[in-house]
Amino acid sequence: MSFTRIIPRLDIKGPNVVKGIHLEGLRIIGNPGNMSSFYYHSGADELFFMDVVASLYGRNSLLDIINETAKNIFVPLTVGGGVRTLEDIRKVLNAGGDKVAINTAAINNPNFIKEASEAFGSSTIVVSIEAIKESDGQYFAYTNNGREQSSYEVVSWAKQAESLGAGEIVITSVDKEGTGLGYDIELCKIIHSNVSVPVVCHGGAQSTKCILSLLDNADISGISSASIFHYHYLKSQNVDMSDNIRKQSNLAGSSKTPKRFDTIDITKLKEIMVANGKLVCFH
Amino acid sequence: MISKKLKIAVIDYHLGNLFSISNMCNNCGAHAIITNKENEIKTCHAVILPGVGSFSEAMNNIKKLHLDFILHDAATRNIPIFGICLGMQLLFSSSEEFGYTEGLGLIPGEVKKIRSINNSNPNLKVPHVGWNSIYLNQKSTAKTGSIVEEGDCYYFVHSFFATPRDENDLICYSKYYGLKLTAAVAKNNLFATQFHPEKSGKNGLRLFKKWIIQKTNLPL
Repeated sequence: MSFTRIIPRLDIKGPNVVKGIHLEGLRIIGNPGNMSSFYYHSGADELFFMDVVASLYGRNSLLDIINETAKNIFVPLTVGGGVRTLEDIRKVLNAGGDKVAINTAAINNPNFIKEASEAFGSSTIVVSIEAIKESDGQYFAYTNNGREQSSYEVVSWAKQAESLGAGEIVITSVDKEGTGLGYDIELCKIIHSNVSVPVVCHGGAQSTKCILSLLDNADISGISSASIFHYHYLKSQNVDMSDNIRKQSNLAGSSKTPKRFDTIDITKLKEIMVANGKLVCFH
Repeated sequence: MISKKLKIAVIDYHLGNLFSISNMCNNCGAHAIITNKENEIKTCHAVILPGVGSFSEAMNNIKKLHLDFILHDAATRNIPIFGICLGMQLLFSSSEEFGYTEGLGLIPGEVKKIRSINNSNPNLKVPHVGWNSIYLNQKSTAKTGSIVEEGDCYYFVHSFFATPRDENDLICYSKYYGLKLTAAVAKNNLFATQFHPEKSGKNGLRLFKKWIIQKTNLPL
């Protein structure tokens, strides 16, 4: 039985959707409204907006984007990035968001999870964990866009988040994110098997095959990705792909080779998932 | 094209995604009025009872706003009422949240925790979240049954489930790791879904339009 949700992630900076590698080096992919609509009509189960500026400045443009999206897109919308207070959450929900993802604010003050879930309901509060594997093989949770290591080992942090009322955990492999080297299956499995709330995996998706491989290993509740879907979006807009790969590698540094991503049509992905017994219902 | 004169009261008791529900109404050609005022509700052809969050907090707010009387009155006057998610659960007799909390009592039955069911499957995560198919209760004679079709896909997110005492009130259910969870109920002019039609893409919009057409007798 599988109910895995396919969740495109849109990193938003000002009026644009951007993308980077290892959370650095951003380039513009497109307009949030157009891309949201594209993914919605392609069968996305939910959408995830991440505010990469994550500051108080320019927040209004994000609220406007949420508002416009919610008018035309009838699937759940999760918003993360710089959500620090109950008032931040209220603004997102009033603008039309359905869930908020919190990371840094929760690590700095775990009780915020409890306050937020009591005020808005557990199912509204997603705790986002950004994990980096340390030399001893343990994964630690990072804050501030993968820059600062917290003292929290990810499994114990995920369990704590659940006990404080988080309704869902999104686990991101910072090591894999944007690389197209495949999901960190070990990381996803260990979180999934240690909590009793739904878990969404993010970071490293490269192909339909790697998504199926992840699902073979763990019956996770959702997969989130940016690159594989964004490349499909760009392709659909007839953007010259070789040009993009060149630009991407320029941003990452000329010594880096461009990474190979399959461009994935969400509808086709879900058809394959159904055929492989990985999806119960198809909409 | 559904008449734009169709007015739907979206009940505001301070819990729920009112904006999304209004969008759904507008998208389907109806005019949504977000309100908790009796005089405004009485001018509407139909009522939506939304809800996300705590059953007991919801009932507290509803009672403070006298919405329990208003909703009972609307039900008595045969006004079509659509309950969504927590809004569906509130229509029932009671919930075991915090032990025992009384509901509106419009549909006899109880609301229980999904977690309380004896099920040792480690993949069973709560809340039940995501897109799932619905299966019809073939034994129900409720006419509203045609609004949903066998195998339809909708978006669910819930940690509690409601069970109607009268099996005829059960329209359809979802299957979740061996559990059968009530997905929609109907009784007289009440219709309610555990899933969120306003978050179920085109399927949800289609269902909502069918409900409007069936329940309000307004011309296409």
